[in-house]
Amino acid sequence: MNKKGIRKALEKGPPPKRLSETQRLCLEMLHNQQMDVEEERTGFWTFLSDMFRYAGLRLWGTQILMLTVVCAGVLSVYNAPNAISLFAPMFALACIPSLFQSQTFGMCELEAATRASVAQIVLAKLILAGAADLFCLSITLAAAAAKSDFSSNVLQLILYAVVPLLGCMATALWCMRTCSRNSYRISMIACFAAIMLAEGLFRLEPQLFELSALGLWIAAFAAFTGVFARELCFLMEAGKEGKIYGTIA
Amino acid sequence: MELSLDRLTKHFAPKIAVDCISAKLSPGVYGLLGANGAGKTTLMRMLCGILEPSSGEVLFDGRNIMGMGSRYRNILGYLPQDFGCYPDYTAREFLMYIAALKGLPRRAAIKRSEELLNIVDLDACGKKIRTFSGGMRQRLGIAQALLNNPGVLVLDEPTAGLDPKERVRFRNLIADYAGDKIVILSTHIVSDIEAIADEVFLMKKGRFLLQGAIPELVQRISGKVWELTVSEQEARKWEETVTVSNLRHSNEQVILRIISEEQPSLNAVPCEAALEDLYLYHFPTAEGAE
Repeated sequence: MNKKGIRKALEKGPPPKRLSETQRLCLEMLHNQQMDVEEERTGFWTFLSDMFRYAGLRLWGTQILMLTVVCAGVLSVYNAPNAISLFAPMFALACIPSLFQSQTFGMCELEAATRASVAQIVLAKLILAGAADLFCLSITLAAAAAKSDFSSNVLQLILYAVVPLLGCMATALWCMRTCSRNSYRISMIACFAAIMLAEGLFRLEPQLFELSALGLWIAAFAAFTGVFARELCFLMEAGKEGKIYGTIA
Repeated sequence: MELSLDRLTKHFAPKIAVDCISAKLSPGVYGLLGANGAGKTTLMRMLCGILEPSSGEVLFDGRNIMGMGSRYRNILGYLPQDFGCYPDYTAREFLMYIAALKGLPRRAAIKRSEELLNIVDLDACGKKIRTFSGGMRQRLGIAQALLNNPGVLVLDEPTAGLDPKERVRFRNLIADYAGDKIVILSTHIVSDIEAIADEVFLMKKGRFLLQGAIPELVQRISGKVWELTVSEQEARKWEETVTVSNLRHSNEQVILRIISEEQPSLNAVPCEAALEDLYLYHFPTAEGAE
């Protein structure tokens, strides 16, 4: 019997005796069904765009500010390509306050108890920072290449920029995951140490920036990429499985 | 809906913060009472899944919350004891940020934020959070906990910093909200728990000392609460020797409310016990001194 037929048969039948009770039971069943249905939630990409609105603009702002400083520095120093390793950690330095924002403002516990959890928040910020870094490094490399005293090939230039940056970011992630206290400070100190080390090498060991030392840079790149990838795996695993990432409470 | 605590334990070597606690929580309001350092906050953090237990587990409808991940946090609302806010946000921006973290779609988030700002009386406040008073921050904290209409609401010291009128409003809000949800709140203000909690857990040294409905628990100390009228000089002496839960002056005399196993004096008359008396009966010394 179709819907129309059922309706007709019911209209012809005797008036219902337990109408209010039936209505109450139906309402109860509907309510229970609604309770079982999970409320709609946004996916990671919507979350990422939300994070861009709340944290990304600030993060990109500081990166652009740092880019201006770095470009001015690159264009003013002698032998600019070699000095890139000195300037690259500054981009990491600029995004660390954003990565540790929740610790600075005491929001860790509150954010950890949300759907996103710490891991997803850090991952979203890392993606935003990575995009900004990619843009800033490209501009910096272009500025260095434009300098008249250019003496290195493209691979060298990329390695001089990426190796210290990867080192700083890997240290920051490691600190975030393992250090209960002072992880923010340790990450900042690591960036300053990288800048100072690069400055020292730039002045005292210029042969490290020659083509013959390329193997050393590639080895350093592989090592830091390995550490960074490992930290990223921990982060992604925690984000995917909703595990606790870092020390919250 | 049921939240079960199964032999939940947390060590912070060498101290045991929570010691093998078991309980079953069905929808209702649960009050957690205990001195500082009793393990309330540690327990609440474990209930929220942000602190991993040393042993034991928290089960939501039979599933371990640590394995449920975001599915558990979807139905969780949490107000930590000490929480900060991003000072450059307005209350509205802050709620929208938390709504994004909770994965609420934008349209639903705007609607819910407006409702909650109205409830906590911050709807007309367009100021940055940095200018907020402690009470305003606390109200904002309560609002963010309710954003996702949570089935499990964990509130650690929710009434701290609220004035009496705001406290009453908050109590009514929670009582209205509770219905078919599990609400767990800890506070030092016994009257708050007395007003809204269906069941109370008294915590001491990481364990549940007592648990049950308020009238049931208060019944346990009936006959142990006394009223004694003495002179002012005698009052000081009594305060040093017995647990005095209240003291009030009347016609150059002092009426003491004493908690004692036995009649402290022949002039002492028994009186009706309250939850605060029960608390003082189990925590006679200064908080955390034990």
